[in-house]
Amino acid sequence: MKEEWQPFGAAVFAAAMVLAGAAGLGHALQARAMRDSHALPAAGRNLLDPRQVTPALIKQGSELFLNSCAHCHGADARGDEGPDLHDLQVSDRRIATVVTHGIEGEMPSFAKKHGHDDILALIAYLRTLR
Amino acid sequence: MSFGPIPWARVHGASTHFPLVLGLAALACDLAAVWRWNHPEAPGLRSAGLGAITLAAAGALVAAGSGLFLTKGDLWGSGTLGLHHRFAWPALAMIVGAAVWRWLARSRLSRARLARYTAGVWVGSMLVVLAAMYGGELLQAAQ
Repeated sequence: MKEEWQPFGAAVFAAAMVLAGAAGLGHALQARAMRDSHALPAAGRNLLDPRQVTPALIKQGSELFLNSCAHCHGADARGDEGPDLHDLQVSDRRIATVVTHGIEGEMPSFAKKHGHDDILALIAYLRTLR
Repeated sequence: MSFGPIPWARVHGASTHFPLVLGLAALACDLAAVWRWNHPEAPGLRSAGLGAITLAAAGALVAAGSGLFLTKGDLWGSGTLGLHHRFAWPALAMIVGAAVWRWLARSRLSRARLARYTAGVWVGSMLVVLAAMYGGELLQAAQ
């Protein structure tokens, strides 16, 4: 009987190891992506001076978000086809780059639709999402 | 000679077909082997089932790895990606577990044990099909 269960135990162990390996690889890749994002020169990390952030700017960002981003990220930014945008762990510069250039095969560029001021408003709004 | 960045989307798209097709092929071969247990073709069917589930598991590992690179390590995600992962991770575990069991038990297979194993492969294959369905939706949304 014990011999009969050996292959089953080994199979469960192998499946668990594969999932653990996937989780480890996932965390390593996430850490690398975050490190790359934060590896920018200090001056480039924050586009938005905290003193610039006003309720009006956040409201403007919220409206821009509903017009341009909510279609994929959801009206509450909790994600739909695109990812959840709450508690973003990336720099302002990274957000601006993604909005401006898009992500190949995943997200279109909004360079023609939104200029620098719009992007600052969007960042101000996104930073309120916790 | 230099290579460009690895196109993870293409690697993921190509490799996902292995667990999808070969998981079902392994299921078909082993079900036929259960059905025709005492016939001369049964050993050949069991060998084909073993080979198919092995390649399916190898493909599933490549698919999972390339998928992680594609999403920059996002293990779960939300929306359609979350649904894709909800089925993809259990499918990976089932297919790899099935392949390991099949190798270790290959010399002491009984008809009843192989029948129970095919039930497990059926569950794993259905999970792969559902993961592929939501994966296809993600692809469609990105185009």
